[in-house]
Amino acid sequence: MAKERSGLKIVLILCYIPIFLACFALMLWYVYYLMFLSDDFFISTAYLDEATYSDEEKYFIEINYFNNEKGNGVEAFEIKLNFYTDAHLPEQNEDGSYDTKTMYSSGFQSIGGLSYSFNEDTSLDAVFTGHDEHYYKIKDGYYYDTEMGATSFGSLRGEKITDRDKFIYDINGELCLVQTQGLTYTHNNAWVKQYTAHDVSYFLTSIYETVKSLDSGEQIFVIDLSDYFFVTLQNENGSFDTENHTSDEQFLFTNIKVNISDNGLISSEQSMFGIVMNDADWTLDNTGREEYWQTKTTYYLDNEDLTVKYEDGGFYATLKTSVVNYMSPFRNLNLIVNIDLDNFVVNGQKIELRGLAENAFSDLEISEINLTSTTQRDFYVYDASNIDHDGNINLILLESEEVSA
Amino acid sequence: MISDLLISDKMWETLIIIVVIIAVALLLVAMVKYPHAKTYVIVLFCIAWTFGGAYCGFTCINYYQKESSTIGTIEIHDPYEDFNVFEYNLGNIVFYPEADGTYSYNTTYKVGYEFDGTDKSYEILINNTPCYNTISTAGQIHGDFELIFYDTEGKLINSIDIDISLIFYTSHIDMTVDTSATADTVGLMQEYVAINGFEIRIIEPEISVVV
Repeated sequence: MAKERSGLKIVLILCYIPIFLACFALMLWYVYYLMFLSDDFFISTAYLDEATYSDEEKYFIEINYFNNEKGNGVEAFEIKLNFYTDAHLPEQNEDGSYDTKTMYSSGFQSIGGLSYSFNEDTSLDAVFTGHDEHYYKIKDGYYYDTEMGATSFGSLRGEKITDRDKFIYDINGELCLVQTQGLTYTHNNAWVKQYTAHDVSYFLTSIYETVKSLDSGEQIFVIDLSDYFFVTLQNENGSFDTENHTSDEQFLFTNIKVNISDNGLISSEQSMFGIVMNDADWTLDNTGREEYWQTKTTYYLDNEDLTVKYEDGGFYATLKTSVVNYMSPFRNLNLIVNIDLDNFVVNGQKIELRGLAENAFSDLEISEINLTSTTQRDFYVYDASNIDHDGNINLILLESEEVSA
Repeated sequence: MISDLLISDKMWETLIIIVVIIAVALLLVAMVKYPHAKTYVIVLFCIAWTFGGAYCGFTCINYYQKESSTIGTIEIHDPYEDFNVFEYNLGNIVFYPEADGTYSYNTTYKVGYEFDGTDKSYEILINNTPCYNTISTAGQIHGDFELIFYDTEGKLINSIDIDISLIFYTSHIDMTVDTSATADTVGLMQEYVAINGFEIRIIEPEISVVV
């Protein structure tokens, strides 16, 4: 028995020796790390650039704020985040870019402003939380989601923007996960740990306070999201890492689009969601809407747009080629030509116009030609159907390839 | 608050060192006082040694997994741009009633453009349709935009004349769109904007004075 125990002891010792030596080597490696490598600090920097969707640029964060300083509407604050969801990851195109039509938007709308308080009132629908536990009570808060171009009120996936902590985004053809890392603050005491909170609400509070401090206007600028979010890239197996293992600290920057107006909100058409207070037809606007079939845009041409042709002893006006080329691409124009026959000048020289050349306006559709003259004169034209003239002018119709002497 | 009194990393390190020192001291005392405890002390030492080695290994591996990197790029929107072709989409503008009975919309775009209306001739396009009577001075450009509305029988409903003004400063552009039309006519315009938007383009038309 004693012999067996002694034998077992020897086997265990022999088996443990390699483990002992391996641990010793690891400890030596650790000592080397402490002596030479522990001060190394790794930084990664991530940039969330805007995405292009149907020729429209979409930013990760977009904000509308109607501060109603002019008192002509209601105060309204809107924030929208554009991202992908794990339920609808975008398809990758052949060039490596991602099809942004599946981009998801989730946002928040506050009507009537947010009131600042140090007391949390849980009876209210929603509240933003500041880092020192001050709160913004929301008078009327509404949540909207947009998916495949259709906006709905309420949250499609049962998750309001204020409750989300993960967003999928595309960075230069690679999908990444943007996650909240919460807000950190320290007490001035080395024995007390930093407090962290994982809640996008803190970020929204900070954004709201920043926007309130800005002047009116539309602007796009870069902000630092490092205090609130961190980014991890998609792994080869398609999963996303929820911990930041690749660096000691990460900086995250994005373009943010902010539109601040001194006017108040008066129509749901001004909302970035197209909806106000869950009503797509909401309006304080007294102009109403009336449907129409078609529009035309009026454009005037005058003496400066015309030049002359000399034919059989007389000058005949015609549109300049450059003007024809400029006007040709435009559609649905109501073109009106005003010709002052008393002051027709070409290259600094006053010209006595005899008439309008054949096909003077090329293929342009002229709605109206107005002729003015203070002296009696004859004026030769090939088509008088759309010509209006004063009494001093005597219109004479010409047939094609006929010029009267 | 009690919830704030969480233990910092520095305090953890100190506590761990104190605990280790006390534990080693107790073990040494146990070995001296109780010779039979020698085996247990050795076993405990081996366990502690193994865990210590594992911790050192994980720490070193974790170090070599880290790297400094840059993910993505970003377009920095220049607060001041040279003026070549100006394009700006006002989107769904809404006209506000003014005290004098007119309706207007104004906004500020916080980008400066190097615009000089005296050295070249410019045209304003609204939704790729030209304004008439475009006048540009040093840092300003104004144009008139007239829309005629027709019903489904091709009959004229109404027409609206809109003044568009852009004033270029070094740091921003003030844009104003106003009209003296009635509320009903403005409603037609609002419908037009809701369908087509309101994109402003300023271009240099290639129209020569001499042909």
